[in-house]
Amino acid sequence: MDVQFSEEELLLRDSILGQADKGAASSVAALESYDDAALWDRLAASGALGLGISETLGGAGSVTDASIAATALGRATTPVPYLGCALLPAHLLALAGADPALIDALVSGRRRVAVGIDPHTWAIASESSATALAWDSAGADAAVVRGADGRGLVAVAIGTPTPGLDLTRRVHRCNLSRRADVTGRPGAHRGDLGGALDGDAEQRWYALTLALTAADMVGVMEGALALAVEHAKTREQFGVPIGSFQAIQHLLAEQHTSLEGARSVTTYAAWSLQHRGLDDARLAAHTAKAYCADAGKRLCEAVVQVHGGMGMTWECRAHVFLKRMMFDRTFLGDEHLHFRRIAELRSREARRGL
Amino acid sequence: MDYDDSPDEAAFRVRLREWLAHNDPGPPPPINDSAAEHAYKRQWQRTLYAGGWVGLSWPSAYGGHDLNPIYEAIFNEELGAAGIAHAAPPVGWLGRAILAYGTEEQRQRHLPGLLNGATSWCQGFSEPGAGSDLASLRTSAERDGDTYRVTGQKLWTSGAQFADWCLLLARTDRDGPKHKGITAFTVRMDTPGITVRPMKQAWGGTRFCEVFFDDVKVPVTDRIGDEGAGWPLATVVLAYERGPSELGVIATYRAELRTLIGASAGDPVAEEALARAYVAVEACRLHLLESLTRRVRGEAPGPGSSVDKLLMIRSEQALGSLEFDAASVPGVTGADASTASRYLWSRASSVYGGSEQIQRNIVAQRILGLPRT
Repeated sequence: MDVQFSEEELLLRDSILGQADKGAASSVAALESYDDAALWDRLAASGALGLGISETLGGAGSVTDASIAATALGRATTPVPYLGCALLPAHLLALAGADPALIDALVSGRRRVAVGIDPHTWAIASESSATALAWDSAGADAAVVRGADGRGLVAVAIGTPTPGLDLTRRVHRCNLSRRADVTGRPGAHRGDLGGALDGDAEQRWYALTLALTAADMVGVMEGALALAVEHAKTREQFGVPIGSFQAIQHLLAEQHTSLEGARSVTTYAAWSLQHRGLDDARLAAHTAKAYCADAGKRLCEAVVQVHGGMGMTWECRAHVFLKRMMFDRTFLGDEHLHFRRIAELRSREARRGL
Repeated sequence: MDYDDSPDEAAFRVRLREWLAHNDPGPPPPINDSAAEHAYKRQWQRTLYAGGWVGLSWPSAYGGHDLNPIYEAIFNEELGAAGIAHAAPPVGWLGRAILAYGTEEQRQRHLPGLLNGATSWCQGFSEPGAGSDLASLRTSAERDGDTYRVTGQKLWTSGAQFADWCLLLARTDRDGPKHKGITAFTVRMDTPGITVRPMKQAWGGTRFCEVFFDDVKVPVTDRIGDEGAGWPLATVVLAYERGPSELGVIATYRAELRTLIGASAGDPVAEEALARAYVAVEACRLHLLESLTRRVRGEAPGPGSSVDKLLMIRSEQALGSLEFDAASVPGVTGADASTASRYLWSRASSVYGGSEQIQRNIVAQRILGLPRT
């Protein structure tokens, strides 16, 4: 056992943090009119968009690397659809054995395609679903869903954008009745991506998505806590920095403890996907999502609280963190759903052990 | 990042599993029978020592095995997996002070007995007026030729009624800053002038005691480190005590989590609460592996062990409550006294080894860098 990031992993983290800082919006107002094209190209050029995808498909690195990158981008609340329009669709296509040309276009940053999710079941939507949402889909011109026959994957058109809560991510409706031509295949095969998504592949993608979403949440927790600690050191009341008051110190110490726990379970979840069996990886992924959803919401709320009246204002970044946290927490279910899944997986395991 | 066993670690795990299958210590005595509890733990420590499982990360010169601290974690995981809630005996933290600050003669004299269970130890730190504010302790040690004369009172001293030795903190200088005037000693508990009075605890046991020192003569050769070096020594002891590794808590938690699956089955509220506890224990276990990896790299425990301790408190208290809730009415009627006692003991975890509030102060000031008042 050697439970620490390697030097290469730390270098990757610093490199992504550097890119995120360089491309960061300088204020909340700047976020609203942010153009992510330059940062997207830099991420693509550095290979970050294909982390954890096999080299034969144009990817590089490990799922742990992908998790490290997601955390670094979450920390800066970077407004790029790193998970939604790169890692999640690329991994889905790879797991289903679908169109390699589209995977290549995704990891090289030439094309943005999201994944269509049924918001009632959190399953990957199909053409016959009633509705589908493309999460984290800024700049996407298509969404991947199951074909009406339920086997292969297809690309459908992106529909209308939702007003959205999170200033750093977009959610679009999918236009399930219109195929999107992402492969250049004409006529009846328009939008066919091929492949087949069996139960294990879908479970694996689902676990990966939970683990990487948790990684983003860990980053959001890091960035939000750092903001509050800085504020507590500088904001003075009663003639002293508010961070000298025990009420503030204990509130922030509790959040730091939660952040450390969140980072530990999330790091393990990402690693498990490549080094443990599917059942263990699923349990680790649900554990990470449950922990981050529960602790992350409380942490971001505490960060707003420490900012006092300033925390209620549009200019203060506290709400940017809170909103991104609520976006991540809602996506694929909050902690209550994942606690339930954990209970199911563990009692199944216990029955098998008897 | 690698959570997999190295070949040596895997071989160790296999050997340990094989040994545990033939050496189950049996169910522990009730938590409110402290004498039986002490005898059980001491016997288990001797059995483990004979099997070669005690002091895994200690130098072999003193009876240890020269392995890195990850082996302690594997040991605890496997005990938990085997359903043995009584983990490694807590030999670690007092010994660490003797290892770090003692002379070679003192190490040779004390450490082997501490590891093999031949001697029992207690920790004479806290006093009636010095709990969280440990540095204000007032028990005095006056130099008188080749001895010190110790007078004062210690409180919350675990296992003092069974101990052969005490690692004692006493004040040798009343004038300077309070942190600088403290000195550490090893004191034989049968020295004339020592009176031990066990205290009955909320759960009915007598895990800790009051200890009175009335002009107790301690040879100068039993001073650990220099005069005035007691505070940094205490900091080492407490940092190790806070790291859950020596406490073996992970073994206990894993065994309890397994037991509780059946008790919560079919009740959605209980199932969610148990899943929450499972998640809390996982965070504690995985964070601990990171802390242990840092120790393998040669870092001594610092303020980060307060985070381990805080994660441990969350796990401990979640489990204590869950077990009480699962027992329900029998916990209140007294039909299930052991579960009620387990619950009450879980409340002690946020007090012993430095209270939860002190740990938060440490995290806020020494990790987050918030200003002291």
